Amino acid sequence: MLTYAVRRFSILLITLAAASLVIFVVLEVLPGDVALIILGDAVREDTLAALRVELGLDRPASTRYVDWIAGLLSGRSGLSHTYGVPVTDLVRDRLGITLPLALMAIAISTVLAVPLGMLAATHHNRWRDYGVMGFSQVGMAIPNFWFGILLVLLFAVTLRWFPSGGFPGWEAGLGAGLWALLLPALALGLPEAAILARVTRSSVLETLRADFVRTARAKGVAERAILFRHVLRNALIPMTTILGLQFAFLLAGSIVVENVFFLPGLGRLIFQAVTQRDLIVVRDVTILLVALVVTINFVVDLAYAVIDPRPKTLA
Amino acid sequence: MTSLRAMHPVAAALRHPSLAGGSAIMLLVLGLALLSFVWTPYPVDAISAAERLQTPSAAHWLGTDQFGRDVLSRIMVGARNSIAVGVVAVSIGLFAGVALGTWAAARGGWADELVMRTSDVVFAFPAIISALLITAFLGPGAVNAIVAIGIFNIPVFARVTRGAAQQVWGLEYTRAGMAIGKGPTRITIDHVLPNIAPVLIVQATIQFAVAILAEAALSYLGLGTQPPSPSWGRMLFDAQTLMALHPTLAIFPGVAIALAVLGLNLLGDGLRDVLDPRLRVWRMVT
Repeated sequence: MLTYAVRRFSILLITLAAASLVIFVVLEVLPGDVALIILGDAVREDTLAALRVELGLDRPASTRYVDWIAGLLSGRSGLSHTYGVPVTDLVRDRLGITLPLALMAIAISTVLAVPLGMLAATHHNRWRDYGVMGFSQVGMAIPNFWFGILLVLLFAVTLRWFPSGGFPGWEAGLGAGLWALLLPALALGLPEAAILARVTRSSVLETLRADFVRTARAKGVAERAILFRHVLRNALIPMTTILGLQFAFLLAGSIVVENVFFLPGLGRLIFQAVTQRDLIVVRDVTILLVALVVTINFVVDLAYAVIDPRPKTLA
Repeated sequence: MTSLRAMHPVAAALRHPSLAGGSAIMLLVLGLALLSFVWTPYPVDAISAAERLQTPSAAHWLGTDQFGRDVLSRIMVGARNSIAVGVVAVSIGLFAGVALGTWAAARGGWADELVMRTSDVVFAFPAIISALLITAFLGPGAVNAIVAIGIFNIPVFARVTRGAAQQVWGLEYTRAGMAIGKGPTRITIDHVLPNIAPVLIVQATIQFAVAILAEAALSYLGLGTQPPSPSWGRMLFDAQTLMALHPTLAIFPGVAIALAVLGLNLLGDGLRDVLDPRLRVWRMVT
């Protein structure tokens, strides 16, 4: 187990190092003059020269890469050209929206999917099963941003129960903040629920066929107790893996959904940075998102190894 | 009892609900896309101020947009764009991924490690992030969206191919092939590829659906297909500002995306049942 964890962690570090190199090369080496990209063609030469010095473009690329990584490790980040503040400050503010949004979406997805998946499995090949599978197929086919638009159309434009977008800030109160995030979280969480319901159904079905379940039935254990005490606990193993992976997908999905709801989160920050050619923000936020994805995958792998201690390979 | 594999492909498809449903939907989408090359109800870019923001009617079945353009015509041409992006992006992933995956399985050792760890790095970038990076570097556009989605597909196919190919390499007839002097390339062509083809077909169908969703999302963000070329994602973006006045504009392009993805997912499920007996749930028909 320890060998597996150490090997997995070293792969995490190598992956992060390689990803940071890819980001640096794509954003700072391949495009040529980064200062020209940020400021555009119609700019005075002295302004361009000043930005080149500010970005350290007068130094070799290898030195800039090492400086960037050292800065990230010590909590220092580049300065956003658009906002004029360190990227870490921007990220801290934006994570305050994106992280609760992703957590709410995961909660919605789990609360919906687990009972639905169990319902389908316990009514295998009957109309409830077909109903859940039908919901799952449709849910997987609906793009989260379109679902978001439909939610706005129904609950904000027609019924006027929710704001159609924006975020009042946590200083307006926890209730107001959560209320503003509810529709985006639904838009993100429902398509994920469709996938999780399928996984729950198949893992519950598989566990229901296991020998220990047959033994429990033979001993006269109540069906409800079998389902919750034995089946669900075992079925949780693959579900945990999927939940972990979904969290990474939700972080990425928030880029689109935050734009539907005009939420000033991390996704909207990186999207606006791309359109405003604020490459320093793009660079730092991308490595942060990549680090989050890789770390979540690492934690899921370790959790999986702990829950299911059979030997693992790294493939 | 007649197994689905023993039946004529068309007969098997008709008797399998997912396969039949998925095929029917995809034939409809593909048919509309192909028809748009020769006919659309109205010219796709024909602007008519007098006919702007019309609700569905006999003249305009799905209504008109803010420029008076026919929504059905734009959805038909949008289907063409979505399918084109999907086909090219999946082809990039399929060719590069299968080459890498079969190489990793045939060589093993460092080659296998190299392919798997490179996959880890690409997987660390969710598709939309890699698309943003590519856009930041190359600028927005359909071609760049295809490249971004295609790159994301490469490790998916590489991993699936490598896993399936490793199983074939462990089989006795493969070892027999080696014993009679066949090289790794010959064995890959003669034995590995024909055996893993069903798995790849199923994966390609699933990735096609993923590509359509990704293209729609990128176009919605303004990073994919650029106006005036119609795209389902961009139509939804344009509809968002007008949906209080004209809600149908926000509905039909979304239905088109959902229908195409649903068709491909059903097709993928059905093909997996028919082509891959290990994963078959709906095993036999009488």
